Amino acid sequence: MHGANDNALLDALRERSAASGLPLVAAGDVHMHVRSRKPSQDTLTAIRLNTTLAAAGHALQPNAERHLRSRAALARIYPPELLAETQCIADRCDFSLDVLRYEYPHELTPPGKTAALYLRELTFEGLARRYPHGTSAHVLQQIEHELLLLSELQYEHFVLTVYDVVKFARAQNILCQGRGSAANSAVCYALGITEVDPARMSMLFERFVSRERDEPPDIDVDFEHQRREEVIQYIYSKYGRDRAALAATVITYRSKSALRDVGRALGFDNALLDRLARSMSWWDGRKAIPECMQEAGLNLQAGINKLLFLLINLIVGFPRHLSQHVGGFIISQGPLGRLVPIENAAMPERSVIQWDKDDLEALGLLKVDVLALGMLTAIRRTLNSVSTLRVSPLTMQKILDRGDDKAVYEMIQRADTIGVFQIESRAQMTMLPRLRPEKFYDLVIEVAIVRPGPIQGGMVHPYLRRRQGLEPVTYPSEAVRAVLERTLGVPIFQEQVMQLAIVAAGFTPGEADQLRRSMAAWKKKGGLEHFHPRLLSGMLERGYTREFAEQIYQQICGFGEYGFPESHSASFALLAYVSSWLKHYEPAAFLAALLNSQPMGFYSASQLVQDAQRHGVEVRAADVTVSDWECTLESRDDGAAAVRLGLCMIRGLPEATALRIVCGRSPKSYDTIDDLARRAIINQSDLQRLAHAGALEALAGHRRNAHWLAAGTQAQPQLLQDAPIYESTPQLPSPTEGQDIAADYMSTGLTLGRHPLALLRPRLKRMKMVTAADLAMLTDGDYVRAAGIVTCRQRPGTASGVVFVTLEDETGYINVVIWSHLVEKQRRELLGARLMGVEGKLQREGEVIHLVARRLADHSGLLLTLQKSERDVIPFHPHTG
Amino acid sequence: MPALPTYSELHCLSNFTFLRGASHAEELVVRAKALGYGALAITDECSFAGVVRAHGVARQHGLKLIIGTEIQVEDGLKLVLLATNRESYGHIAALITRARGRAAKGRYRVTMDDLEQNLDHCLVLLLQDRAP
Repeated sequence: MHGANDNALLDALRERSAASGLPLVAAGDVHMHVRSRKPSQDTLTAIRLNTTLAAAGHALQPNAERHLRSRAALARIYPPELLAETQCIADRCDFSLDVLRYEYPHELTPPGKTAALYLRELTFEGLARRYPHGTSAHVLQQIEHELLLLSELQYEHFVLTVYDVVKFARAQNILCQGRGSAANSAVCYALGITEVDPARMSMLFERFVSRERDEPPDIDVDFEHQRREEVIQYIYSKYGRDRAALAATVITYRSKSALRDVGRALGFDNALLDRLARSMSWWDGRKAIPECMQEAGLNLQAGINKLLFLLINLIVGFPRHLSQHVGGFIISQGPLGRLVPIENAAMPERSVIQWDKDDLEALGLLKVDVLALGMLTAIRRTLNSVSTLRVSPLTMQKILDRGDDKAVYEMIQRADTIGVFQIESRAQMTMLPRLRPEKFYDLVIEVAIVRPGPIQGGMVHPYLRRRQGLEPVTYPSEAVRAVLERTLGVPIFQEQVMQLAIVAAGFTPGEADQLRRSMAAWKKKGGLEHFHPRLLSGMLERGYTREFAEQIYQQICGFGEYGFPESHSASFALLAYVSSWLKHYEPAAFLAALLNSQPMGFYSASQLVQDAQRHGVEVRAADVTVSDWECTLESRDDGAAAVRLGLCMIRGLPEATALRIVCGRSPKSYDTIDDLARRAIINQSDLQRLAHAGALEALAGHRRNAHWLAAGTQAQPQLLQDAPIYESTPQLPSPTEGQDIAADYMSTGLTLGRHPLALLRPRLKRMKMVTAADLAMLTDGDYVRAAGIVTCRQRPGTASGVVFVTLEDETGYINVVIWSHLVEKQRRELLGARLMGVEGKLQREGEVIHLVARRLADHSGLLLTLQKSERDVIPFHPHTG
Repeated sequence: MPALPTYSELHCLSNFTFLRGASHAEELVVRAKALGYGALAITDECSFAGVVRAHGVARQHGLKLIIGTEIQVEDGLKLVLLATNRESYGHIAALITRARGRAAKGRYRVTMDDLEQNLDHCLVLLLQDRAP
């Protein structure tokens, strides 16, 4: 009861209760915890009804009574027996989420066998496949240890379920590989779920599963991104929608979305809200809102503006709706909907449970992550196309079995890694020439060591100093040496910290895992302190000095947040190596595969093509007379492979049209554009797209002619298809190189011609701009100017406001560092420029070069000059990041 | 001054009733505990999406949490269902699953027929109409 006439209402209810025999009970219909939340509640209501607060009127609650009221207040409103009844009802409710248990499907185990026995059989079959010459005693011992623990914790059904999914993918020739902590399991390796070989790497199974941990393990498996849907539909069809569903992701209000919704509810003008939202960049948290508001000319002291700000702050972080998790599946033995409600996702054919991954973890429920990884698609495609030319198919395993390849590592040491997995990012590339990986384990370290934070913040990793011989490598004991020798005495991996706690301080593996878990969260939650006495006394007992013990504790604290599981690093390093190998030995096939797997990775199609060209790969333009839908390989006269761009590269061209073009070429290719349009039934706008992309040049000479001819062509009804229309073609001037390049970029996002900056170079030279190649010749501390197309802007959360920008010119890449004060001062140039000019100081360490900006300039206007005199000027958008 | 009555709130929305509930579960739990409530039911509209969070904070603050849901039936009836044990929790979860399954994302449909399904051990609060 919340308002006027409550007494009359109560009388009426009492009568009904007496008539029906149902007891009356007080209930608050609570919408908020305190009265003062009412303005937010009203605002939410207005947002829900898609109206403004002013117009919402009666839809709003008439007063603020629907909050948690004090018992004194309740006693004044309700008769005592109605209040007492609430307690009677509450006492009857005896349910806690803690009692929820659920089981993975049982049907995968054949009748007459226990899950434990079946898992053991499959594991040993797998071992025979993995180790045809026999399994080592060390691995067998590990297997027995794992099987025992899996059985004790009753995880067999879970592992068998994941095994079944992976088996399906293998049978369909879908490349997949487990990542994360599951790669610490020899059983998972034997079953083909993960690829990290326990015979080659030390493993700590407790990082994956432990007795002491009250939380279940996750198994994360990556699949080819273009074929993951097949795997998802397999799971749905095998178990049914009532037994399998994706985990949810809770979408919450962020500054921008809160600003839009609250602003609209308060009646702010849409144009103003757009302007405000635009001035917020993705890295601004809610603290930037006042500045943005002031910048947009809003007086924060004015009542309504103040209210806007307050309400935004309250609503940021509120859940807005449920979305689907990237791939976390819950699969159950019984009906899942009795454990947690299932609802429809926005995507057809998808359903999600109402809990997210944190909820599942909190309740100890296991999920399988079915993830999508673009690099697996690219690797599979490369292997497939290369295999057609070989006697026996090339596989990842065969590449790995050849052992470390010197030439591949030399390429990696040069940071010549555009397009390969993981070690292609800017941060990785600046580390490669310093770390100089020369064997597989170096890649495992490389993947782990380049993390946001300490390194990008300017600190040189102690591991690097030791590797370069600038610091001595010592160990306090043989036991510690065994743990840390592979990383030169510096703990880099979570597993090493766990092992240290075990060998030096006497922790059990399960306790060590608890230490690891606290480590990851201690900055946020604390909770590492109580391990301190335990570590210290354990190590003193075992003869280590107090100084060393403290040093280890400090190291644990220091790297806790950034520590990386070794198993995960190793899984990713495998893909980094295989993709590097393919890039080195099969550059054309690798490029075609990358282009066909877009969007993925760090680089755009244009950058990948330029890089391949620099490595001598011939790339041929899309052409209606030869191109397929996808990019393909063609053989050159010298026997090498060339890449033929596919029609898929042409922006906006429907696949169906492309397939008609491809099919229509046999038995006889097209003679003229007219012929093409008639036989492949291509409409005017698609013809223009083909012309614009230069794909008609084989039929029409240059691009402008193609446009003209295309414009005069109509797809004909079937009857007229064989009746060509003859019309004379006027001679049109061929387009300028600049216009060609601009058209290429607009149509396919890349050009096979010269880089746009090569065309602008004379002007840039007059502006005293040097090239990326020039920078390599300059010395540390030189003051220079350079310019390039912005390909990437990054703002690592831990690098105290620094923004990294990558610029591209015709000779390569320029890495720009912009400190936070300049970020604030030149925000507009930083966020707006497509062609950016930078003035600043050169900083170099060995082969690693950075340009530290003093001043930025937006030269995007120069790009427009490239296409001047084109009749209909379309805005020019090269691949900006 | 007379002793304060015991009280448990049986009908309370968190902000997981999107765009209606205006407080986080944690705020509700902390407040209910401070007011000396015997228990707090989180009864988000046709949803259990917020219950795990609420469960975590209720345990942390030592408050008894009841799990339920508010349901608007198609003919105008509005109810709160409360779970008394694992079985009734399952019935309510199944009801929400059915109701959500026949509507587009973010919506649900409950008919009187749904209430004929097994709801053993569920407690039902019939909500008063505003006008008696």
